[in-house]
Amino acid sequence: MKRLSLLLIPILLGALVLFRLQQGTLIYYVASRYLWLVGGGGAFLCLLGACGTLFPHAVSHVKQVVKPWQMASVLVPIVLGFLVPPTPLSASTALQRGLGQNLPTYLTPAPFSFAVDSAQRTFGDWARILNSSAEQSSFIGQAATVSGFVSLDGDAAYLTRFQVSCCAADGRPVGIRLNRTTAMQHNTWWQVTGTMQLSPEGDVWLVPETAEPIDIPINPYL
Amino acid sequence: MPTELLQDSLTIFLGIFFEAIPFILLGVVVSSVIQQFVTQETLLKYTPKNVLLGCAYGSLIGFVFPVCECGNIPVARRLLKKGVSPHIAISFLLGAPVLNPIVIVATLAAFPYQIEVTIVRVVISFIIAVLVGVLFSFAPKGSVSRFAADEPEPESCGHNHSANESMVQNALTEFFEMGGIMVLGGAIAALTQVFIPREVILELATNPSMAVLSLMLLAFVVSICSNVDSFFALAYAPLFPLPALLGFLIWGPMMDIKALVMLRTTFTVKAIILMALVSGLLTYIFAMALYLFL
Repeated sequence: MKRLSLLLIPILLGALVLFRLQQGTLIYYVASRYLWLVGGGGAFLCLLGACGTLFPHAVSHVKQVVKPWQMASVLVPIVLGFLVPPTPLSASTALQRGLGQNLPTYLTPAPFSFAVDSAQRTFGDWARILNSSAEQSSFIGQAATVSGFVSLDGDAAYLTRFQVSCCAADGRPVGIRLNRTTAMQHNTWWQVTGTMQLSPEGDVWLVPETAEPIDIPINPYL
Repeated sequence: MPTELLQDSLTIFLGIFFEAIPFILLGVVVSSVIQQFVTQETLLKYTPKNVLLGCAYGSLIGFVFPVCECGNIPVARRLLKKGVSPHIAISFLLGAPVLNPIVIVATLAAFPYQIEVTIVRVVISFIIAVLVGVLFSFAPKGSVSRFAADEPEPESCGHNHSANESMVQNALTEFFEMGGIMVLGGAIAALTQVFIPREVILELATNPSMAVLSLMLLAFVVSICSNVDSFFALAYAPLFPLPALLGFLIWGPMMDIKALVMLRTTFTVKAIILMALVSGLLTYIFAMALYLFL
């Protein structure tokens, strides 16, 4: 039984990675740029387990060395990964990680051009502009269509996305202040079309003209 | 605690674990290749006898075997089993996560307009790896590594194994030993991320000394892989002075919660504590000195 487990565990872990990749939910855990690398690691694990069947004598040596707790430990992410439905980082973590406190982001300042149709700007473009520009009033009245999840921090609401450089561990929340409607509940995803206006507090916020609840996008991170 | 935070801690935990898989496997493969194709005689033949040169040699092995701090522990174990002295293995362990082409290119990519970040990171990491290695050369024999240098390989069962058989055996063994510990380290890193608000750490950054210490502490807690930690550090670049960022970039690859747990498979507790304290102290001193120049 232990010998079989020694081969099944790497195969199952590899299968979990490949399953999440195929389902499109591996991206909830690792940055899109590393999907191929992690997927390759999953395929390699399956291969390793399969190769083990060709060398039963080698596996019997492994059986003597590997301790039961080590096998049980590797089983934990496999069980959790298969049984618990995957979700991207939530609004609670966005607030816990300092959303709205003007913490730095990975986004590098981009040159602003009035020649660009403001409605074509992505969430990242807007976040970059609103995080880096001292002349925020320049953008008042401009149209914007962006999607993200709603984070409620006291009276303030933000349309939020995480920037992930490596994996969910380094996710940094980026928010666009939002004049929300009551339907926009905490941690729900919305596509909002509206205009940038001056809030009562004096900063720029997005005032929705239309807002539709949406499913979690294919890539929930920036 | 909100359910969302618990779910997020699982997402973070699996994120760290999934992201580490290819780097662990890279370490396992490199370890298996060393075990199979690099003989003890070859390795020892090129190892300088002089302690200082030996430590410099050890810290630069990463250029031949480019592994981050997730993958370098299996390699260090293999080096020790091949008869390499513990102080050289420690120089490798501390130096290789930065002194390798992948990390150098990643740091250059993250700080393209501040080439001094990459240069200082590489130079100081090299100096610290050598100094700590030299320090450990004075340690009594048997007090550093958890196994004897001449301990027989587990496959010594009285008959010959094919190269492929030995590689599969070694790869499976290393996978379970490293993977088991990685799960523990990843879980601790994920839970501390959720339970300790980053603002608490960031608030410590009110003066130069605390800025260095707080980013070193952050590096220790988040346990991010050295192949990509430059991009993570970039997020703090606007708030923190360069010496503090370098404290993050130098000490993080040498010591973090995840590596600390993984090191237990190879080194004694005393050796790990000494390694952590001395490398941390040297990083702090160098980072503070950098305020004079940067």
